[in-house]
Amino acid sequence: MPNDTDLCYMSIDEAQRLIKQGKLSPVELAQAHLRRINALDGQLHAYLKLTEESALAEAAAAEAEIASTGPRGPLHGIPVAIKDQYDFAGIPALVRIPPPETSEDAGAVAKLRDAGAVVLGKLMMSGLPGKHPEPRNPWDTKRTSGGSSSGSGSAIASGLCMGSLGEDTAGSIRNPASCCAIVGLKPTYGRVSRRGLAPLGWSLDHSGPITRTVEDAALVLTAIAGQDPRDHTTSPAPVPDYTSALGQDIKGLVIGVPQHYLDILRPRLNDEIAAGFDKMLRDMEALGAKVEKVTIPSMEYASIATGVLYCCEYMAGRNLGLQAHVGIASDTRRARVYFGALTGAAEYLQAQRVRRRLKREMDETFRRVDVLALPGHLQPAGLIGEMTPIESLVTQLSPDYNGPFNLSGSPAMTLPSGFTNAGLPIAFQLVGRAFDEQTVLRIGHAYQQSAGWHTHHPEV
Amino acid sequence: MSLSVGDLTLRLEARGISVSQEEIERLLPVFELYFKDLETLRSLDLGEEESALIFEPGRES
Repeated sequence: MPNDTDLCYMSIDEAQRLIKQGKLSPVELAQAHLRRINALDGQLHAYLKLTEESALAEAAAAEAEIASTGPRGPLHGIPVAIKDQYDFAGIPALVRIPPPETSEDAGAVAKLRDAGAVVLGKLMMSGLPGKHPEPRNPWDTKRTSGGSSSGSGSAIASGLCMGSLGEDTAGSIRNPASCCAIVGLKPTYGRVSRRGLAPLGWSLDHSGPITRTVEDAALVLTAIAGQDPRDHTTSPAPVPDYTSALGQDIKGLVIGVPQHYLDILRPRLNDEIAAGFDKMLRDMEALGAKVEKVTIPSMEYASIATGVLYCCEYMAGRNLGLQAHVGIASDTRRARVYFGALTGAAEYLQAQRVRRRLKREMDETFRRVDVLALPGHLQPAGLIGEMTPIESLVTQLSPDYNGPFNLSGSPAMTLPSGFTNAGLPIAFQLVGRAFDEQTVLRIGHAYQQSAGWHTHHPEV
Repeated sequence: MSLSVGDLTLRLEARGISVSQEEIERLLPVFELYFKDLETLRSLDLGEEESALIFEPGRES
């Protein structure tokens, strides 16, 4: 039997194969994770709340059911953990101010439970009201694991769960993935239910997986995707098996690089991340893909539009309790309320017009290319406490590689492409056509298998 | 652009949010950045581009 570390760093696919063969018990797998969490989380602060008792009960139920009738699917008996922004039955998201009296499982959480996943608990996130320790980056515990799905980044990279749900309003799934050398997939807007997800910006919020491998992201997405009759923004489009295109080659596929936008951000881009991005493109060409420069002019203003919509929607969503919210919320969330309150209707609509134009330009571009590629982040993970709250706010309002695709609602996946000389993760991002997560996953998987960065784990 | 702490305080109050002058002063550099962004947004020539009042970003073609 593998030791706890080996067990906890298995991919979901490997673990499920052993479970199916009767060689791995879901209860033992959950216990191994709980032991690891108890040993390491005092240092990493990934978890906000462990639901140990219910997790062990779910694992025991999974074990009995699998022994009797076989696994329901690839997530049956697999330990996962969820960003606190999602409600659980009886445990509402802490970021909701004031806290509701009752809560039920969020749509995506309910789907994971239906798939038989074992929910270990709720993970920390940036911007919670009150004082909470900041999750640590397992690659260097003096550093942040990114945000706002910071607990997910820390937990996945350190083997404290096998799969996680994050939420992405302006990069919050992809940024922790970049910082922690893991995979973050923001699906198309409407692909995954956001019911029971504490809203930050209604038209920008996306629910999606954070995992260690592309296959695992595909497995989790297959489980959580689909129409939710109680979330009117979800699409009725059929849900494919997102693992079906994995393993296919990428010969002849076209990767577009929005060079003009990369040039605008180049002065703020870390040189090692830039070099890593160029190397990744050469590796893609070696795999048979074609790399072409493209121009999407509205990307230049997309981060501004994203920021304005975020602030207005955040403020409007708290319209009936603004003063109470301002009294409790974190610096960044308070500032969003102020900015939203001072933004005019014409400015909000101007941001929507930018969104419309960006969508049109991207649709035109996707007639010629299969995906877009960009760096995942501007800088490697920063030191904890390095930035003042004001500097942090300025960073959040500054253009980056993520915000444009919250505005367009496009599927976007970040995955590792190496490490800096100091051993910090470097990442890149693939962006696809609306509802074409399959091509994004296919290309990401081909790169992952060739580059092998997913086999590197931090020494915690 | 020069923003006045008093003016920002009054404008927020008019929207039902009471904020101390110290808080506004502390956040002034970020207010300036945000207002600069709004100015950029206002100055964009978006031609005939429309803004749909009802939209579902992931489901548009």
